[in-house]
Order: sequence, then structure tokens, then C-alpha cells
Amino acid sequence: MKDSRNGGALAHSPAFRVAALAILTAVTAVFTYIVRIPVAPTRGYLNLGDVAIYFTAFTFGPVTALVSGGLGTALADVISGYAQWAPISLLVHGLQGLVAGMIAGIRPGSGSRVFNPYWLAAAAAGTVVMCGGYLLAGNFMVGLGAALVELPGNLLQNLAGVAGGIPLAMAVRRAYPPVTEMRW
Amino acid sequence: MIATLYRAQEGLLHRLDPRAKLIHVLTLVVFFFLPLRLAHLAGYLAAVALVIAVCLGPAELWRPLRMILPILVLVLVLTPPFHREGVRVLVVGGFPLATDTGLREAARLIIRFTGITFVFFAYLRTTDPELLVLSFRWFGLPFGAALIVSIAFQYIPTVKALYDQVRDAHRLRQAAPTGSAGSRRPGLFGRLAASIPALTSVLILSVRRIPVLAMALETRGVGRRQRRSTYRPLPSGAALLRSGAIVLGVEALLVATALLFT
Repeated sequence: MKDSRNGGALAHSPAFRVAALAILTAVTAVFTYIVRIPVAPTRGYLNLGDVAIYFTAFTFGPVTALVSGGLGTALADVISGYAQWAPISLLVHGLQGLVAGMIAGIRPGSGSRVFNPYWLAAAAAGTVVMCGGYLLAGNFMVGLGAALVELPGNLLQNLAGVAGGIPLAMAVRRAYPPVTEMRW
Repeated sequence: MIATLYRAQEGLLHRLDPRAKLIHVLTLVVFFFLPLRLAHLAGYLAAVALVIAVCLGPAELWRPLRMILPILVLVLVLTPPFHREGVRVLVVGGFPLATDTGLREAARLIIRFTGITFVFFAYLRTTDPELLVLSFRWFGLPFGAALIVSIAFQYIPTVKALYDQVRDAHRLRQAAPTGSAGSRRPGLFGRLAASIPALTSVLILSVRRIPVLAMALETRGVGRRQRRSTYRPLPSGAALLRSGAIVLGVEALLVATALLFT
């Protein structure tokens, strides 16, 4: 273990990967289950799970986003009592993180370069995967009518995920530069 | 502390082996997707509801039902217009809002979704999350993957506590209002923007824990050929055989009824 403080070469060790995946899974679960923003017109809530997924995809790469995005949202479903959606969340949000991370990783950018224009394309692809995935799964679970009703909410949630995930990825890179070395 | 669905008590479902229950959950979910007759699927749903009522108490049925009620209403209202074939039951302005085929499809979806919800509820209500991870491990989940799930479960309360602390701290020293700010309630994206500083702090504090946890895991032998710790195995023997026999019996009954009435 060469560097014990900031990740560095440690990012390639199995222990580091397990630690990163576990903590980011917990973060995604908390952002999904706990951190919520009220939506005035519907008196409902918007969860910030997608914010965590996009942050992870842009900062840590596709594999971390695949695991922590899928597992984190599935754990949040299990904890909140909507376990019937957990297998779907595992698959759909995992794919969303993977796709967003892969596109963002075409040109990851260095530590000094904070914003990456590829993030927008990554977020657009992630939105298509997430909304399409839930529409498809919802069609089997509750039928096309009810699945279509969920679509605007999913789109809004993704929009919030992008609007929150990009500034967060930039802010964390600026405030804690060692995070750029934790990507794999 | 994060509360899970699990409630410790004595009962048949609690005593069943978690591995046998997991297999049974998957089988039941598959059964609710089979193209069986409506009465047949309704029979499965009634059987699952009866087991929950007997093993956990009738009041427990309301808990999952209350959570899915809005979506069940949506299914009932929105499914029939997508199925216009069959005998027209409700026509508004020449447009068939509901046909017998549409209503049957709505009933099928309601039974399916309620059944799957009940099955998952019964499983998680009667299975300790720790045993859940051990069951997955028994079925071949790699050590690293099981470790990720169990550490994540342990860290959820920590990250939640971190979020609460940071949010309270940010509330105490919020930015001074400027211009006309404060006269209007911020919109959705305004509220999201306002939460970014607190979320940034939570993420930095969480990310900084990764190398520390990695070091702790390395000292425990994670990533080495010879690990210093491993997951305890679930008990084999009579208890597993008994649970397996019960589940096999129930599944044989399900298959027999499916073949008989199809």
C-alpha cells in the first residue's frame, strides 16, 4: 500500500475497490431514501438517487457507478418497503450508471479540468436508459398505462440528477482533488 | 439507525430456512407472471395473503397494501383504455373506455403486482438482513460482493447521520439573504441548488473515508489469497432439509394446480 491518505495508487487494490463500492453504495442508498426535495405541484417528493449515480459515474467511472448505482437504489427500495422494485432498480440504475460512466470516461479529464462536456452526453444516455428501463419493466409489472404515468416523474428525477450531479462532481473535484485519482 | 422491514418473532415463516425461502420467493414471482387463468392467479394471491395473515397477523396485510394502493388505482383506471377489443362495458363519446378484455387485463396486473408485493414483504418481514446476505453467499455470491453489501448496510446509518449533521450545520450558518431573495419560495431547482453545499460536504466526508476503510480491510486480509476472516456458513442438516421439503411440497402443489387448471 503506497499511499494511505488520498487513494493514489491504492485505487487499484482490491481492498480499496471494496471500500469505495461499499461507501458509495451507502451514499446512493441515503441519497435515494433519505435526501428528498418536495415537489410543490404534486405534494410529492423527488429523491436524489440519480444525483449520486451521476456523481459516481463522472467521478469514479462506469464499474463503480454500475455497482453502487444498482445496489444503492435496490437497498433503498428494500429499506423503504418497496422491495418488489428492488430487482428492477438494481438492473436499471446499474445500467444507467454504467452507460453514463462509459460515455463520461471517453475523455475523463485531468484534476485541473473540472468540467467535462462529455458529461452532458453521458447524462442524456443515462436518462434514456433509466426512463426506458422503468417504462419497459413497468409495462410488465403494472401495465403500459400506469408505466406511462410514471414517465414524467422519472424524467424530472433524471433532470434533477443531472442538475445536481454535475455541480457536485465539479465541487468535490475542486474541494478535494485526490478524488480524481480514485477513478478506475 | 435505519429500520428495515424485518421484525423478529416466532412463526412458521420465521423458522423456515432463508435459502429455502429465497428459492420460494423467486418461484412465486415467476408464477405470478405465467399466463394462467385469472381465477387461478387470484387463488395464488389469496393463498399468499392467507399465509401472511396466519403467520404475521391480518393487520400486516394492510401495510404493503397501503403503500401500493395509489398504483393499483392507476392500473385499474389506465389499463382498460389500452385494450379495446372484446365486449364494450363503458363507452364515453363513442370511445370504449373499458371492455371486458381490458378489465380482465387490469385485474391480472393488479393481482400480479399485489402478489409480488406480498411475497417480497413476507420474505423481508421474516428474514434477518444478515441471513439474507449469508443466503446469497451460500448460493455462490463472491466474498467481495457479499462484503460490499454488508459494509454498505453498516454504512447507511453512518452516512445518514453525516447528512443530518452537515444539514444542521449548514442551516445554522446559511448565506445572508441578498436583494429580493426570501420574498419568493424557491422552485424545485432552486431548492436543489440550495442543497448542493450540504451534499458536497457529505460526499467529501464520505469519500475521505474510503482510504481509511480500505486500510482497515487490507489489515483484515481482503484482497489477499489467505483471508483472515470469512463469512460464517449457514447451518446445514435437519433444519435445511425440513425447510426444503416444505418449500418443495408447496411448489409441487403450485405446479400441479397450474397443470391441472390450464
